[in-house]
Amino acid sequence: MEIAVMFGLILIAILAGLLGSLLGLGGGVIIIPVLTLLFNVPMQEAIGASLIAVIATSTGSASYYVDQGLSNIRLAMVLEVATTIGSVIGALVAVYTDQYVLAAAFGFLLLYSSFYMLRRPENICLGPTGPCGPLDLSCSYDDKATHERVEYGVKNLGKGMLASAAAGGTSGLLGVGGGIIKVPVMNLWMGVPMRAACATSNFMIGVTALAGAIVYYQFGQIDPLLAGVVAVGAFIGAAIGTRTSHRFEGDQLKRVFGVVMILVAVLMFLKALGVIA
Amino acid sequence: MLSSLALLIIGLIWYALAPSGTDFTMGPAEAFKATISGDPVGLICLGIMLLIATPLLRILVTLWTFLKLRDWKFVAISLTVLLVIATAILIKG
Repeated sequence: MEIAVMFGLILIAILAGLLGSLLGLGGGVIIIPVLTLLFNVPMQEAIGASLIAVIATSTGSASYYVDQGLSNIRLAMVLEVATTIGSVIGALVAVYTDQYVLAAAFGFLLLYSSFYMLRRPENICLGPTGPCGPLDLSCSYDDKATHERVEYGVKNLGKGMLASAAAGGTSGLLGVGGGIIKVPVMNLWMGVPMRAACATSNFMIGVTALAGAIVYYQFGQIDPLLAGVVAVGAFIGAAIGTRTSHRFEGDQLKRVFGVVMILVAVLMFLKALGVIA
Repeated sequence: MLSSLALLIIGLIWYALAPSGTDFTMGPAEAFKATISGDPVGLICLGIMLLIATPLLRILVTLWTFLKLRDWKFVAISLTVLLVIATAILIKG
């Protein structure tokens, strides 16, 4: 691999890590299209590299966000049960399903939800609303952008679990961390403020990508140089992103996220039409 | 976490200075031997493996925290996640 290529890859990975850590994504939604379209990397290797990038972004942001109290670890673990199960099912189902249909369905789903992200202002359960069923997932943090202490409760756990399972499914299929589903679900359905949703998602996606990454590694589907470069870049991006996240308010992040969702939806439609792999 | 980053950066710079032909991933023992015999990709592989291990460590630390807090529901939840991941690896592997 030439130095120029490595350099270009690192820059892109930094961008992916930056956006990823701010929005609760792993960066896979940026990395996979770029690798497959611009760098002509075979899909399997791109997914492998993307999974590594997701872990790098997640790791790079998680410790910071946890220290800040933004990541709701209990919520993360509960949802991860569903997500990991979903990713196993997703991987098994992937063998039998038409990729194009899946991509199209995913695209519509993203488009539909993006409008909610763009239009609705923050709609969180302020103040502890008490335990959500048998589990108490309420949490609080200090919001540095608005200088307030935010407390919130978590609701709709059942729906959240189902959606997380679906997110896990997409992770196995598309090589992403699943954050693109998890963040809107937490923010729109479960009453989690946007910044906490992003931080919690960052915590989760590393776990989600874990199983996939191990399998891909064992099967030799990971190019060490590619993965190494992407990981370093994503890490750096995440380090920058987490430390600048306090400048953004939840609503701003929501709008950027909505735009990203639309872009990914477009990519999904292109994939469904067979324009891209 | 930082150590995996360090390994990767050192490995990549080393590679940039002295590229080796290797383009496949190696298991831990192989990677170690490769590094010692002068193949930067060995170091990179070690870094990647360490990176992959981090989320696993994260779950274990979380589990440990819940144990210390005696929050049994969440101990069970964390264990379930570990179990599912282990199953996933075994099924797919």
